Amino acid sequence: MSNQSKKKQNAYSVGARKKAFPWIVPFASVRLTLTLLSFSMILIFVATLEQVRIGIRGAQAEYFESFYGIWYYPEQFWGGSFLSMVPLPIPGGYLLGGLLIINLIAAFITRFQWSGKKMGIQIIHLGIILLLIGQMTTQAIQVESRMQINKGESSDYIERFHGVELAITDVTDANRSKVVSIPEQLLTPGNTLRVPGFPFKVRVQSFGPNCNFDFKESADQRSEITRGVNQGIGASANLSLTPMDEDFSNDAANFGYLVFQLINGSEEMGTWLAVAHPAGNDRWKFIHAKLEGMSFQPLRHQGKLWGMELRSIREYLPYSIELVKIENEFYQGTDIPHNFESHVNLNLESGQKRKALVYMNTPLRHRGKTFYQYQMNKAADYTVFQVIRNPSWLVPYIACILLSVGLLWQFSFHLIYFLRKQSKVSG
Amino acid sequence: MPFHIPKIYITGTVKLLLFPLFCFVSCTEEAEIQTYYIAPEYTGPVVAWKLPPTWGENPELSGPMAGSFHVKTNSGPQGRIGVMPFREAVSTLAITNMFGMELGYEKFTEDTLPHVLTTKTVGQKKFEWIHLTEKNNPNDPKMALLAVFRQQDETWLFPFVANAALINQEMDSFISFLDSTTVRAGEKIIRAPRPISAAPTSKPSGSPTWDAPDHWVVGQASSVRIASYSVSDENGNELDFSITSFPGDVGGLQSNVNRWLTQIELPKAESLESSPYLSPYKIDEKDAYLLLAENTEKTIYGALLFGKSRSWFFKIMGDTTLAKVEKENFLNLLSSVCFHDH
Amino acid sequence: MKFLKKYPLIPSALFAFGLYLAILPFGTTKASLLDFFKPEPAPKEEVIDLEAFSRIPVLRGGRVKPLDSVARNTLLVLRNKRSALDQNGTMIPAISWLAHVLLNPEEADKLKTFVIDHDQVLGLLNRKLAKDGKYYSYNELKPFLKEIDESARESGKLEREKQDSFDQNIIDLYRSVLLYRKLKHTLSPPAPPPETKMIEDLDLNTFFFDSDKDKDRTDEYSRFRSITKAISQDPSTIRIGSDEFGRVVFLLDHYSRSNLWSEFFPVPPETGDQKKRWRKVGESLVGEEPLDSDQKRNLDPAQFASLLQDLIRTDRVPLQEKVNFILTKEKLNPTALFAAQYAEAIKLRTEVDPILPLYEKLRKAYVRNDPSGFNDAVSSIRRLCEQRAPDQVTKLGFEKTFNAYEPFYRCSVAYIIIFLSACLSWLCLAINTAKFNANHSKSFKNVAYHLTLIILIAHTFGLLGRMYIEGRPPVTNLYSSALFIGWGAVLLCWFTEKYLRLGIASSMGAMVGFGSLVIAHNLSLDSSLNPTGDTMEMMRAVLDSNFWLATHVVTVTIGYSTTFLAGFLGLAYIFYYFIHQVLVSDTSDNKLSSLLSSSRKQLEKTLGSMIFGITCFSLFFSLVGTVLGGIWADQSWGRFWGWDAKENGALLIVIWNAIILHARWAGIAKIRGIACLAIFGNVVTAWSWFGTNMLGVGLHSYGFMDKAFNPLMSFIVSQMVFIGVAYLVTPLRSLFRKKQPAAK
Repeated sequence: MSNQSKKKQNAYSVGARKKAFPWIVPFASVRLTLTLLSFSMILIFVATLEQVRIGIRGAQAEYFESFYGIWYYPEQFWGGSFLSMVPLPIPGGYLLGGLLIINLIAAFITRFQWSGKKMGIQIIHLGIILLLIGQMTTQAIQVESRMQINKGESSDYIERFHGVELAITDVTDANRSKVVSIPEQLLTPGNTLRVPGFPFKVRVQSFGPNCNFDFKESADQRSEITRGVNQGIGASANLSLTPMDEDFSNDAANFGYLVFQLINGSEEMGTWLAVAHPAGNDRWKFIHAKLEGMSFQPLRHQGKLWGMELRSIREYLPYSIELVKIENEFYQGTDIPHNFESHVNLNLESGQKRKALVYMNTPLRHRGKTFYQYQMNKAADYTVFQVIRNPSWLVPYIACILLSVGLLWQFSFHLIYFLRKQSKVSG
Repeated sequence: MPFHIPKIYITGTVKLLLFPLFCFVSCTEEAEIQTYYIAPEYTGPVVAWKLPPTWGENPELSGPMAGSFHVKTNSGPQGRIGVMPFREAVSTLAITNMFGMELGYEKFTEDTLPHVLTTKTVGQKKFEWIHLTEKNNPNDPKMALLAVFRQQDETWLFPFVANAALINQEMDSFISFLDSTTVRAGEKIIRAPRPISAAPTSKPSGSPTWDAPDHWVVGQASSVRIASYSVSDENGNELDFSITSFPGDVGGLQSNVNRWLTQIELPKAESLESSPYLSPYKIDEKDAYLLLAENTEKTIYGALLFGKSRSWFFKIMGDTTLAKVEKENFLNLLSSVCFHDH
Repeated sequence: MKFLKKYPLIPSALFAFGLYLAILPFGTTKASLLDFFKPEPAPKEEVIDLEAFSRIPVLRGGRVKPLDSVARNTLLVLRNKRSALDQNGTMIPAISWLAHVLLNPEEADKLKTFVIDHDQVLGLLNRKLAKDGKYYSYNELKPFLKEIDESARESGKLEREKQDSFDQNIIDLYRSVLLYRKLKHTLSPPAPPPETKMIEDLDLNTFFFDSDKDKDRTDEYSRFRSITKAISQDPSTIRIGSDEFGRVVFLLDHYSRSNLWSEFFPVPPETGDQKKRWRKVGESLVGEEPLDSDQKRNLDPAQFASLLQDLIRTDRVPLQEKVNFILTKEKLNPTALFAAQYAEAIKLRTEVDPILPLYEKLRKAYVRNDPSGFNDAVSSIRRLCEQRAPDQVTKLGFEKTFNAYEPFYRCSVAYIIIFLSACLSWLCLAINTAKFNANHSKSFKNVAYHLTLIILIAHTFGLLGRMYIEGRPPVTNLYSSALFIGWGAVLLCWFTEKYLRLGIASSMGAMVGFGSLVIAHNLSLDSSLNPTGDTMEMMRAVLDSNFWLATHVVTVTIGYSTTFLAGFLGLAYIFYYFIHQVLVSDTSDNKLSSLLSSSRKQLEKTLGSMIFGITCFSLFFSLVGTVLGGIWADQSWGRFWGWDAKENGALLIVIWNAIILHARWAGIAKIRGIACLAIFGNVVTAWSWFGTNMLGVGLHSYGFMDKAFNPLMSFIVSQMVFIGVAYLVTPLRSLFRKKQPAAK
C-alpha cells in the first residue's frame, strides 16, 4: 500500500503520466507495436521479393520510400495465374516508420517507467527511434553520385547515378566557361523556360528518362517524337527514338532524351534532340561516330559559342582527384578478386596535394563527401568511385552507441539477477 | 495538482519531434536552373558566326572543318564556304597550293604568290586575301576565294569555292560573315585532314603480311599507315615505302592515280586505259593495279588494291636512281603479300 | 559392481562410444585427435610412401594446400565422397586415387571415379541404375564423351531458371569429366594430335615426348629450350615465314594452351619472384599469357615479329625492364603484350625448372613400382617447395591430419548418440520400472550432457582448425555458416542443460547440431556453391576484412543459431503438448498420462523461460549483428542500410524476435503462442539464411543456390504443420472424444 501511495505522489510515475495525457495512451499500446511490427515483416518480405522484378532501387521507391505500395502476387508462383489479379495494398516504409516513431514516443510518455532498473529498455528504444529517424532522413537527403577518372587524368566533378540535366555551356572565353544547367524536374513537356544569361528561351517538347534509338534514312521515317527535329545531331544523323520505361535494376543503362526548341524573342530557331549517355557523353563515339557530337551540340550567336548536351546531373567540386595508378588482383588460379585499389592525388583548392589510397572497405572522405571504390577497368585504365554525401551519416552511429549501452545495461541487470538466483539455489 | 510539467510543454515536445520527420518525408531537393563558372573543358575550336540570310549550313562536317556552308539559290544549294582552324602557323604558300593545283595553276612559289595575294581588313580583323580563278574554263570559271586569318599561333582559313558569278554575287555576305566571326582554335590539335576511320588503336581486320628486304629500315606505323620503311643510299638519296589502308575506296582509282602522279609532277591521266603508267596486276590472287611512274628526279612505284570494304595502297616514292635499284625488291615484296583470308 | 551400479551399463557404453567417436579413428576417418600432436610419420623405405606424397604442396583455388586436400576435394566434386573406388568398387584412399590420376593415367581411367545417379543421364550412357550402379570409370564414359558434351552444351544454353534436373546433372557430369581430364594433364601437358599439319610443316615430328626414345618428358623440355636458345642467339630469324620463328610460335602456343589443361599449380614460386606466383608446367616453360589466347587473333603479325626481334636483341636486364614496361603501359595492345610474353619465354626463361625433372622421376618410379626412387623424388620435391615457398607450406601437415580427422563427420554421428541418450532418459521416466527408472533417466541425461561437452570440444576443434588453415574468422561462406550455427546452438544448449538437467536442451542441441552439419555437407556437394570442392575457398575483396567477418558475420550467425534453437525448443514443447493432449484425458489413468499431467506445469514454466531467454539472446545477437552490418556497409559502400535482400532477411529476424518478446511481455501470447511464434522464427531464419540467396539479387549474393529450394520449402511446410497441430489438436480431440462416447 505504501508503495502505491509513493507511486501516486511521484509526478513522473506511469500512472500520473497516463492521467496527464489520456489521449496519448492508445498510441502507446503494445498491440499497436505488434501490429506495426507484423506489417513491417510483410512489407520487408514483399519488397525483398519485388527486388527480383523491379530491382533494389525500384523496390525502395515503391515500398520503402512511400506511404503504401500495391503488390500483385507473382504470376510464376503457385496459383499465381489467379492470385496475381488481386491488387494488395502494402503499408509503406514512411507510413510504418512514422507510426512506429509515434508509437515509441507515446510509449515513452505514458508507458515506460522512468526508473534506473528500466533505463536500459528506454535507452534501447531511444536508439531505435534514432535509427528510424536516421534511415528516413538518409533516404530523403542522401545523394549518390559517381566519379570516373582515367589513369593519369584528374576529375573535378561528380555525376548522379540517376537524373539528367540540360547543360548549356558558353565556351567563348578561353579562361573560363559559363554553364547553365536545367535539371530534369523542370523539363516537363510544354514548359517554356527563361534561362538566365542565355539569350534564348527553351521550350520543352518531350522528355523521358529512357529510350531506344536508331538511325533512319530521312526525316519522314523518324518516329513522331523526333520528326520535328531540324537542328544538331538529331537532324544530321536522322535519329529516331522510342520512349522506354526507366529501368530500375542495378545494371540499368537509361538513355534520357530531350526534344526542345530554342526561341529567340518570338522567332523559333529550330528543334534539337539531346540524348544522355548513362556512362557519360564522351562514350557516344564508341556507339557510333555520328553520335560523337551528342556531347557538344554547338549553337552560335553574336560571336559566342554554346555547347548543349543532356547529361547526368553534374556537380563540380572545388577540388579535383587525379588517378595515379590502379591495382586489381585476383587470387591465383581463381576468378575471385583479391584486391581493388586506386592510388589517387587529392588536389585541393589551396594548391595542396595529398596522396590517398582508395580500396575496398576504405573510402576517401573529404569535405562531407565520401569516395568509395566502385568499379574498375584494368585494361582501359580507369576507375569509378561512388560518391556519397550524407549529412545524417552520424545519426545511425549515435543510435548504435545508444543501443549498445542500453543492451549492456539491461543484460547486465538480467545476468546479475540470474547469477544471484543461481547462487541462492546452490547455496 | 502534483503534476508540474505543463501539458502543453510535452505536447510541444511531441510535435517538435514529429516535425522533422514529416519535413524529411516531404522535402526533396529544390530543382532550379543553376548558373556557374568552370575551368574550360571544351577542347575543340571555338568559332562563332552570324550566318547571312542567303546561306545555309551543311549538316555534316568532315575532317578539320569547324563550319561548312552553302549558298541557297533557286537551283538548290551551291558553292561551299568553310571554316578551317589550324592549331599551328600554316604558310600562305601551302594553303594557296592546296587549292591552286585543282584550278589548274602551276605550283606557286614565293615569287609567284604575290600575283594572287592581297590583304583586306574587315572590321577589326586583317585577312590575307587570295583570289584563284580556274584557268582552263574561261566561260564559267570556278573560283576559290581564300581568306586567311592569323591569331597567335593559330591559322584560320575561310575558303569560298564556287562559280565566279556566285562569289561575286555573295561577296557582301561573305565579308559580313567574316566580320561576324569569333575564333579560337582550342587545344585539340588539327593539322591535316584525318580520314574517317574506326577507333585509332584498332588495326583494320585482315591485315596482310609481307616480307620486306632486310636493308629496309622500319619506320613509324600508324592506324592508317600499316607499315613504313625507308631506304637510303650513300649519296643521301632516299626512298619512302608505305602500306596504307583506308576504309572505302577513297575516291576511286583515277583520283588516287592522279594524286600520285601530281606528287612526282607528272601530268594527270585523262583516261586510265591510255595511261602509260598503269597496268592490271595481282596481289595475293586479288585484282589490283600496278603503277610504275618514273620522272627525271622522282619516281613512284605503287600498287592499288580496292577490296570490298577497304582499299590498300603499297607505295614507294623518292629518288629515281635509287628507285630503279629497289624496283626488284619492291615487286618481290608485292608478291609476298598475303591477306590470310583464303 | 559399485561402479556399474552408479553408472549403469547402457549409459556408460553410450558414453564410451561417444568418446571414441570424438577422439579415435574409425571407418574412413583415419586420424585421431592425438595425431595432431605427433610429428610427421617417418618416411617409409620399402613401399611407395603415399603418406609423404600426400603432403606435397601445390596451389589450387588460390591457396597452397597438400595434394591430400586436392585429392579429397576433387573426389568430392567427382564422386560426392571424399574417398575413391578402385575398378572393382572397393574403397581406396583418396590419395592413392590421385597418385594414379597424376602419375599413371592409363590405370586411373579404369577406376570408378564418377558418380552418376540420374536416370536420364544414365540412359544417355545406356546404363541402368539398378543393374550397373552409380559409379563409373573414365573408360566407361569414354565412348559417350561426345554425347555428354553435346547434351551439356544444349543444356548450358538454357537460362538457369529453366534448367531441369537432367540439365543440371548433365552439366555437372560434363564439368566432372573436364575436371578429371584437367587433373590428368596437370603434370603432363598433352601433345598436339600427331596428324596436325603444322607439325609436319615445321619439322617437329621428333620434338614431342616419345616414351620409346626419350628418357622422360624433360627431354622434350630441353629440346624446347635449345630451340629458344637458338633463336635468341640469332634474332634475325624472327620474321614472318622463317621456319625457326614458326617453330617457336607453334611451340609457345602449344605450351600456353596446355595451361588450360591444368587443374592446379605444381611449380613453386621461382626465386626472386616478388609476387610469389606458383606456376603450371606450361607457364614454367613459357610464362603467363598476358591476355586471353583469343586475343592473339587481334595481333598484327608483322608488327609482332619486328617488335619481338627488337626485344630479343636487347640484353637480359634491359629486356626484363622492357617486358615489365609493356605489361604495365601497353595493356590495350595485344601485339606488344604477346611479344613481351614471347620474349620472356625465349630469352628470360632459359632453364627447365628443376621441379619438372623431379616430377618426371616420380612418375617413372610410380609406374615401375620403384619405392626408393619414388620416395626420393617425393622428399626432393617437398624440400624444393619448402626452400622456395617457406612461409606457404607451414600449415600443410596440420591440414593433412585435419582432413583425415574429419571432425564434422565425427560430430554428426556423435550428435545422434546424444539425441538417443536424451530420448532414452525420457523413456526411462515413462516406463519407470525397477530396471528403468528415474535414476537411469538421470544417468542418461548426464551422459547426454557430458557427451555434449566432449563433442562440442571436437566441433570447436574443427572450427578452430579451419580458422587456423584459412587464417580467417569462423564464418566465411554459407558452408561455414552452417557449421557455426550448429556449434552456437550446441554451446548454448550445453549451458542451458548445465542449469536445467532435463535432457531437452541436450536433445534439441543435438538435433540442431546434426541438422546443420547435414546441411553443411550438402552445401559442400553443391557444384554451384563449391565448384572446386574446397570448402575453404578464398574471400572476395569486399568481404576481405577479418575485423568485420569476425564481428558482424559471427554475431549475425549466432543470431541465426539462437533463433533456430528457440524454434526447436518450441518444437519440443509442441511435441510434448501434442502427446499430452492426445494421451491425457480426465478418465485415463495410466502411468504415462499421470506423469505427463503432473509434470506439465513445471515443464511449461521451464520451457517457457528457456524459449524466452534464448529469444532474448537471439534479439541481442541479431540486433547487434545487423547494426554492425550496417556500420560495415556504411564503411564500404557508403550507406548504413540499403534494403539488400540479405540485410532485409536479418532485419526480419530482429523484428520477429522483437515481436515474440513484446508479445510475451504484454501477456498477449502464453506458452503455446510463444512456442508457435518461436517455431515460425525457424521459418523466418531459414528464409533469411537460404531464401534470400535464391533470389539472386543484391550485394550479398555471394552464395547463390537454387538446389536448396525444395528442401527449404519442405522445411517451411513442416514448421507450419507443427504450428497447425498446436492449434488444432485440442478442438480435434474434443471432436473425436465427443464422437466416441456416442459410439459406445
